[in-house]
Formats: sequence, C-alpha cells, structure tokens
Amino acid sequence: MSPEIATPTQFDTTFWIATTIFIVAYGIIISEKIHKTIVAVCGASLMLILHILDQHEAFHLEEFGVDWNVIFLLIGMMTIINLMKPTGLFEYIAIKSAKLAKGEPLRIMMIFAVVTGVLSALLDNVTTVLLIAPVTLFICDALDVDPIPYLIMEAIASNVGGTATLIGDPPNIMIASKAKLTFMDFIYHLAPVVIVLMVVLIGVIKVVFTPKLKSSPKLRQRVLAMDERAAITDPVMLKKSLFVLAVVLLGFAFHGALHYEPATVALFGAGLLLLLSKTKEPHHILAEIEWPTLFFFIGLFIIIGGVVKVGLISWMSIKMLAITQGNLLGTSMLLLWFSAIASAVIDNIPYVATMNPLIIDMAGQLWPEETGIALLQHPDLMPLWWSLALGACLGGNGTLIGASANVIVVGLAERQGKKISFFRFFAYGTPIMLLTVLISTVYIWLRYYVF
Amino acid sequence: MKVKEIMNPITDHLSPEDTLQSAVVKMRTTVREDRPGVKGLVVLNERGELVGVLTIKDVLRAAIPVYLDTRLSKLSWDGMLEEMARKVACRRVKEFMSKRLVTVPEDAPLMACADLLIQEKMQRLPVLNKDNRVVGIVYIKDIFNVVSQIFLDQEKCKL
Repeated sequence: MSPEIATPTQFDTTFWIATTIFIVAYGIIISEKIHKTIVAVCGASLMLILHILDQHEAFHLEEFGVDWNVIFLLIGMMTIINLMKPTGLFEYIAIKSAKLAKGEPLRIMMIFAVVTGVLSALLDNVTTVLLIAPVTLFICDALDVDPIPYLIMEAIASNVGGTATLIGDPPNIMIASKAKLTFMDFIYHLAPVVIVLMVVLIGVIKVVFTPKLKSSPKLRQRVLAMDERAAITDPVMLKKSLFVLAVVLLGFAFHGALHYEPATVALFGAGLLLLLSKTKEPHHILAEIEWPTLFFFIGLFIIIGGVVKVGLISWMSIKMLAITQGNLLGTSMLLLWFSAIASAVIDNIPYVATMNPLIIDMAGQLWPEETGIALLQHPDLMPLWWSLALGACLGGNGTLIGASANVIVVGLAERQGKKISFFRFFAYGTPIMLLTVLISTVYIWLRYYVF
Repeated sequence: MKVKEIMNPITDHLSPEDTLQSAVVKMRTTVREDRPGVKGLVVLNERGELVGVLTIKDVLRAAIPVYLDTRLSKLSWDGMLEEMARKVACRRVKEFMSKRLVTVPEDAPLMACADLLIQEKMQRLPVLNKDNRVVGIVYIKDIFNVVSQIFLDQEKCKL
C-alpha cells in the first residue's frame, strides 16, 4: 500500500484530466471505432505527456505502471505455443478424441468441449479455440453436420476451462500478479468449481443436442478412417515441446514454494524450447507473438496507473464500500454478478485492470493496519479475488462480444461462409453464463461464508 | 515498346454476381490465341469498371475450406474435394475473385510490366486506358515472347 492511495482524493485539474483520459479511452474501446490497442497506447502516452504519471512511475513502479509479470508471462507462453503449434500435436489430440467418440456427432461435441476446457486451462483461450476450431470444421464437414453449435460450445468451454488456472485466462493472470497468488492457489480455489461447471456444461450439451445430431455410419467411417499420426509433422520437436511443457507446468505447480514468479517460469520455458528447437530464425516465432494484445495491456496498465495516482480508483472504492456497508458476503456476490454482467458486455481485460487496484484500495480501507501479502491475501479478502475471477471469466460467455474466444470462432465461421448471429450465440451463451455464475454464487457462499 | 502493342484485347469478362458455375463455363469457352479456354478473366461491374480478377487458382481455392492446412489436408477423406466443389458451385464470383487489383496503364513500359508480374507473382495484368477502363490483358507469356525473341535475334552465344 502506498501513502498516495490512502490520502483522500483531491478533485483538482489533474484528477479531471486523468479521469477524462480514462473515460474517453474506455468509451472508444467499447465503441470499437478505433482498434483497442491504438486507443490504449494513445491514452497511456497522454497520461505521460500531461504529467499525470512520469515515465519512471509508468515503467518501473508496480502500483502505477506496467505489470511486467503479466506481459512476460504472456510472452513466454505465446512463444512456447508458437513453437508447439506446427508439430501437429493439437490436431493429433482432436482427431484422436473424435475417434474415441466413435465418430458420433454428439459424443464428439462433448469430448471436444472437454478437450477445449482442459487445453484452455493450460493455454490461453484464444489459442485454444484457434487450434480446435479448424479441426472441428473439418470433422463437421466429414460428418455433414452444422459446425456452429460445436464452435459456440467450444468458445463457451474455453471460457469455463480457462477460469480454472492462473494461466488459463488473462483476468486470472492479472489478478494473480496483483494479489501475489500462486498457480496452486488458483487450482485449489477455482479448479473444483470449474470441474463442476464443466460437468454441468456436458450435461447441457447432452440434453440440448441429443435429438438434433445424427449422422450415418458411412460418414462416421470417414472419421474412424483418419490416421491422426499423419497430423504429426515433426515428432522430434513434438517430444521437445512436451518435455518443456511438462517442465513449465511443474514450474507453475511449485513456483510458490520455489519463490519464482510465474513469468519467470514461462520465460525459462520459452528460452529452453527456443534453444531446443535449434531454430536459426527466431524472428518469425517471436513475430507471431500477439504484440497488439501485449501493447493493449501495456497501455491499459498505464491508463489505470494514472487514475490510481489521482485517486479516482480510491474514490470509487469508497463509494463501493458505502454501497456494501463493509458486508463482505454482499461485496463478494455483488462483485461476482457485476463482473459477470460487465464482462459480458465489455472486454474483461480493461475491466479487471480497473477492479484490481479498486479491490486493493478497498482492502486498505477495511484493514488499515495490514500491509503487503497480509493485506493482499487477508483471509476475508480472498473470496473477493475468486469472485472477481469467476465473474470476469464466466461473464465472457454472456454475449458474442464478451470474450476474445467468442469473437475468434465467429470470425472463423464467417470465413467459412457460416454466419453466427449475435442472437444465435446469445441463445446458448446467456443461459449458460447465468447457470455457471449461479453455481459459482452457491460455491462462493458455501465454501467461504458457510463452512 | 509499350504494353498496348503486345496486350491481348478483352473479348470476355465476368460479372461479380455470376455464379462460379457460369464463370467456369465462360473460362472454358473464351477464345485466346485461337483456342478456347483461359485461365483467368477480369471481373467488371455494371458500369464496366474493373473490380477483380478470377483465375483457375481462385476457383480451386473456393473448393478448399479455409480451415484446411497442410496438417489437416493429409487426413482428408476420399471424395472431399468433389464434395466441397459441389457446395461452392452456386456461390458468387465476388466472394472468391481476387480483389487486389494490380494493373498497368496502356502506355506502361514493358520493364514496368515485367517487374510487376515477377514481384507480385502474377500471371496476367489487366491493362487500363486513360478512363480507367480495361482495354486488354498482358500475360507473362507475352513478355516472355518479347524477351525470347530478342535472345533469338542475337548472334549465337559463344561459350
């Protein structure tokens, strides 16, 4: 906690300049008139040019500036995935599971939802759907079934699965970094409810799609005849990738005990796999890193840093405490539902980037005698972090624009000449979002406030 | 020499609203160098303006699903291409034509044409007049003919 945050907000010119930059930037991001990365970088540079923040604060201070844990964790994971992608591992897994499902359309949808959920717990959601969607379209063509429900269910499964781990979804990465939570904290607190949610999701698929999905034995035979081993293009690199992935996952599992930040583990994995790949041209692998996303984060962190410094966030947290009267169960529930609805409508990354300092500020006011980890991980504060993570990740299922994974599958389907309308997604996404958030509500209440 | 001296005058064209089915009929029947069959046609809108080019590669590309990559295409089933082709036969030219227009003015020097064909990996360039109307097409073969004729007109090379 810094002394700056604890001081009451001064509603001076600086405050209004920073607040205006923040509101205008978020407004343009939501309107999608200008690419969000450009808006974020411009907003951040305005915070610097207008002396709301100085460059040292923006680049080097944890409380006002860029969260390099998030940036380097993403860089590391993206590099590892970019090196793994061409090996054909993901196609292998998908084809293998379609065969395990005996080529039955309904079973394939269920098993693909599970595969997507598990993969997106380990990779980011966008990567997961980018890997699974092409194989899905391929299998659906083989079976002559409509791929759209499959793609929608995969986007939903990736948002649910990604909630389970620290690395599964950007909100979790951001929350973990701010609250200094470990990979195992996420597994311990979020994985149990995500497993329940996945089981429910599979049940929903079974109930909704059993009467709808049929295919002839001749078409099923096409899937059964596929040789998934043919998808493996580079078995040597595949083994190296799996080795590094195992090292990285072990590293994540023990990073808390070993006193390494998750970003350290990811960066080590990226370096190791780059070395093992023996590539002489790392630039095309590094060029495939999603730099626009990373610059979006960088810009947002600085914009948020500006409004934290001028006290807007502190003022908002006081208002929020006034609403909830310091009732933590009420705050948890409000946070869970508000986050879910907000994330259904806007990008959950800027939302969580704003909520993180707000929650920390609120904690500072509730427990002024605590500092550091004792404050960030105050036993009464923990349910709030989990509520924020569950709300922000699961809310993405609410609408077509709620999560990047949704936008990606819609784009892929459209390129294939199949349009997914806003309402078609809505018809599946919103009931499932409401159901999953409801289950999470019960989970948070039972686990943290009853027992 | 200018490009208009070697270009082939336009004899036929497609409309963006044509189906791929009718487009391939035109491609098969359009006469070039006294033989029926061309590998590409310009696409003109109702005002006669150039809006795209459709080549045999674009027609093949239409039959290949966008999700397919080299890893998945190896797993494809017998009959997949035929099945996909049946699905796209009635789709429109405008969906698959290449809209990136690389053209030359009719008084362009041949060097500019040759360079464009090679740099842009094109097989043909629509030639435009001063009113931006397509008046002809220059093929890579036409430029090759010019170059090879120059080679042949020279004395035999001594090694």
